[in-house]
Amino acid sequence: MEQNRRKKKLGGYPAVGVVVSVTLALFVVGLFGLLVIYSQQLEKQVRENIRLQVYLKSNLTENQRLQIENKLLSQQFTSKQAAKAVTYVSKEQAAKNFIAETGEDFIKFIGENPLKDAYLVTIDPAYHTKAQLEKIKTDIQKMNGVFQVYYVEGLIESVNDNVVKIGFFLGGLIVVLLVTVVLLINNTLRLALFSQRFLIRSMQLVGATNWFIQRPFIVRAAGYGVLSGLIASLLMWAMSDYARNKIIDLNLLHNEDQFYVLLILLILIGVIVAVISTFFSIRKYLKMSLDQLY
Amino acid sequence: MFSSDPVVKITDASIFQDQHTVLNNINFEIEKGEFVFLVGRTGSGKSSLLKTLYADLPLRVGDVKIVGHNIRGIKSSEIPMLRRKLGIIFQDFQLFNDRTVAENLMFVMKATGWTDSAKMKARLSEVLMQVGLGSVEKKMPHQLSGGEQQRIVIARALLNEPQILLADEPTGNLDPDVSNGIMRIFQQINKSGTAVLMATHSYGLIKRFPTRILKCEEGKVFDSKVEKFELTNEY
Repeated sequence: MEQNRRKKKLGGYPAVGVVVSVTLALFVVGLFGLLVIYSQQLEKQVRENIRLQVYLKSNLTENQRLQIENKLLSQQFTSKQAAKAVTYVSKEQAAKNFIAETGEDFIKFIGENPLKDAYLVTIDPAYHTKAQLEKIKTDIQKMNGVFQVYYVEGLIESVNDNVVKIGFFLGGLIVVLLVTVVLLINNTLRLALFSQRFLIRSMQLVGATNWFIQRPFIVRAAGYGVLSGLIASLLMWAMSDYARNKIIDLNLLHNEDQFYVLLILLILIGVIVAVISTFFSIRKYLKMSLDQLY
Repeated sequence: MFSSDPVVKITDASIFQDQHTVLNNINFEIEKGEFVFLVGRTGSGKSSLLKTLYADLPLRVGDVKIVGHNIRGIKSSEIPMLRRKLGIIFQDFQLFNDRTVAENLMFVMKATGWTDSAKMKARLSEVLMQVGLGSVEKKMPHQLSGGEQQRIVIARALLNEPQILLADEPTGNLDPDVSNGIMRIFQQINKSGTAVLMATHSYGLIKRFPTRILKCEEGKVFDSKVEKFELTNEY
């Protein structure tokens, strides 16, 4: 019983309260981080679907065709990330696709297949500006055996526009949120430490060094930071798991690696903010004179 | 150490509380092993003077040398080392109510750099014997009387073998019998070579234990060693 009482007083400040509020703050940060990850993934997927359509001239030999394919593959602007940056669609395949989509057998109608063999080229996102795409288009058009290059101009522009808008929005929110979280954690710890000010004072009077006084508080704060981070991560993980079971499409956007990095970040933020806040709060009391303490 | 140097040497010091001067142009010394009373009305600057001595109140004018440290412009990292050589006893510096007497004293030793637990235990019994309370180690502070608690506070101040005890109203809330007991303990400690500077309101105490007196009045410190002055009943 004596043990318990000691813990209550020396551990002094309301551990549960601190852990709960820090956990909640971190959880909100985590949710937001997830939103950022998902929006990035979404952008990536949209961009991967932006493909240049390169139509080849008729009557090319197999060799000539492969030459063009290699040339396209070796270009800088060709995406290095996409699984299949350069995809060949023969005119037979294109016709099949078209008939499947429209249900109209135009070959019977026209008597021959008017389509051309084509390559679909995924462009590295670094080249996703209107000017660069225009340049790429003319460059490819100059290649031997290329009939025409085509891409959906409006799509790229609207993606670029929206990415900028969403980026500003998310960036602004992240800043606001981080400031709020730091203030919240800081305030919680500060209030908690307020109850310890006379203990700190007494230690100073007997001649304890500042480091001796700070150490246990900082160690404890780091512990609370880890604990809060872990709980917040666990909550995130459970929530994400549940959400992905309910909304199957979310799995398309989910990226395990980034998700785990996010969880580790939560723990780190918890520890760092808790330790730094504690350090400064205690320093404040260390510098106060007795009259200011009351 | 510097056996001939005074424990406290104050030269032309003025003491401020916020923007106001409380005491002006103070000059006095306390020799090794001296017993000195510090008297004066509430607000006359007694406590501020003591606080200046243990570097809780910054010294802005003059020089104060205490147990080998210069208070003027003292570095904050030096303050703990200074305080380890002082025994501080005052009302706002109570025992921790959440732990036993032994734990209270052990805690102070740990906080001031003691590491050898055998030595710590030995020192613990030593100081408790010095204040005449050999058997209270395991008790909680609230199980002790006011006088006993005060003796523990004195024992705590003795732990690091200070060269001087700074006591602010150590008999403040105690009845005369108990006060006398406490005073006798201070006298014993004093006899073994520790200087004592004790602030008090108690006229009776000064009467019963005559010794050198410093009086704070109207912004000045009067020294009974230097000049004669009247003590009134009103402290």
